[in-house]
Amino acid sequence: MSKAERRKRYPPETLELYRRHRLGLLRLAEGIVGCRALAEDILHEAFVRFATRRGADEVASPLHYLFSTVRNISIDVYRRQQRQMEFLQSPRDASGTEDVPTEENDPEQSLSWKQDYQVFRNALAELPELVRRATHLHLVDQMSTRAIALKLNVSVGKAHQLVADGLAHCRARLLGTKK
Amino acid sequence: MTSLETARNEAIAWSLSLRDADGDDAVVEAFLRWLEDDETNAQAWGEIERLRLAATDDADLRKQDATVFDGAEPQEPARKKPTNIAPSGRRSRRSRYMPVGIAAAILLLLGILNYDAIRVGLLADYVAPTGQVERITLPDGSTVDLGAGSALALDFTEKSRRVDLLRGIAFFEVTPDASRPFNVKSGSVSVSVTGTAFEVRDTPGGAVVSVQTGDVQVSSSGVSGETANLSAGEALRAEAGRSVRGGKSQIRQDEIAAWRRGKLIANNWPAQEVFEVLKRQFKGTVISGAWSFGESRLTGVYDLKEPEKALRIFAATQRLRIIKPAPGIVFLSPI
Repeated sequence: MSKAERRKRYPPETLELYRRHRLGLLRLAEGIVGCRALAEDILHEAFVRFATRRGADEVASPLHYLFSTVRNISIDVYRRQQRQMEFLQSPRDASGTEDVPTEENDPEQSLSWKQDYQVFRNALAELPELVRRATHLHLVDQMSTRAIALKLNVSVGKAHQLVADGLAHCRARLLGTKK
Repeated sequence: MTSLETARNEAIAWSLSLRDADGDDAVVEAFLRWLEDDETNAQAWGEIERLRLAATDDADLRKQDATVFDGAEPQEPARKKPTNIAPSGRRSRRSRYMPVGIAAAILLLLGILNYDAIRVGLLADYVAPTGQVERITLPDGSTVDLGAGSALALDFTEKSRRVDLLRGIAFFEVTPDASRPFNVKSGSVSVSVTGTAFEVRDTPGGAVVSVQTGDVQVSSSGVSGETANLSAGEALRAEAGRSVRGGKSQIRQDEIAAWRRGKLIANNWPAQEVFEVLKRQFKGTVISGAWSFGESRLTGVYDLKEPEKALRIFAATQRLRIIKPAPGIVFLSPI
């Protein structure tokens, strides 16, 4: 499709929004799927979905919509990749990530995504009670900092600190480094 | 070039900000600018995404994914039933404590054998146990916090996403997908959205809808062709056969779905509706007798983590007292 055709077909604000944030969105997708070419495809798919959505003017936060679309498609693609990896790879062949030691060495554990999950659970278990709960509420229950503060009966600032500490710890474990 | 150390600290701050921003475009814009600024930032964010994925990659999801891959067509994931939700048809543990004969006799005597419960049992895909809020991830990635004792049925197709709130209260965070509108039905009231966060609570006459972010359209059966648009911070009480125009009110953000945090915040609610929520919180049978609570309205905060205490406070406002004839049974009786 030529540029002129594209302009005719999609509303200019949509195109403008997309163009303005293309690089950021591309890096978001690339960060999840770990491949530039795949990220380009995801962006294209997201743009088409975004531009051809019905009730185009009803979306209150178009950029957030676009951002969520890119992120959701990326996660779908990532999970599909992992499934294929599981299907194709021999258990010994770890999938390009650092070899994170796990407690048992069964074949199931040697796949990166299952490893990631296990490492995360272990890392979480190492944390002090309050940090652990705050981190879980942020990552798994997807609660806002305010809601976490209310739930744990601490100040919002404290909740922020608890989550930040927990994330830093779990991330360090996931990357296989000492904090 | 930003140091990786700095980028990593900032990535954590962004993880929190994005969650708290609740879909605010200005925050998303600032975040994307940050990603653009520096390749190191993008790398640091990739790590956070990996952590987020690891955290949500529970056993159930893996099982589901595996099934889809075996089927070679990675399209609509099979309907997912989280293991921590009591499947419909199987009763929660209270039945063990409840001598069936006594219960049946009391129910029959009071004439409140509830056909509705049977209907719900047959139709529901998800039933949250009494006293517990359940988080469900729907096949499209939308999430539902299902209030204690509440029930949902799903009807997802390629063109539409329909959810029927058979009973109770639910908070939805809908993944945007304009090609498949998301529709929630609660009795005679229907809510349609493309992507937003909102609460629906059933009431004897219809439903109450409260919007946290985005916009929803509410319509009510018996009033053809009329819809009301609700935006963030607005609530609407809709009833069958009554116009949905008007009746809108403002609601504070932290009042919406406060039950997810273990609080019931009632702002001028009919007593009957407060009772419905408290009843579902209570692990056991609550019998209110055949009388209605009349027209009285209540405003207050109830602690749902202590359902019996909440029930006592409620009973006191209604000039009722609590009698416990058998374990797991509470009877409300006039003083």
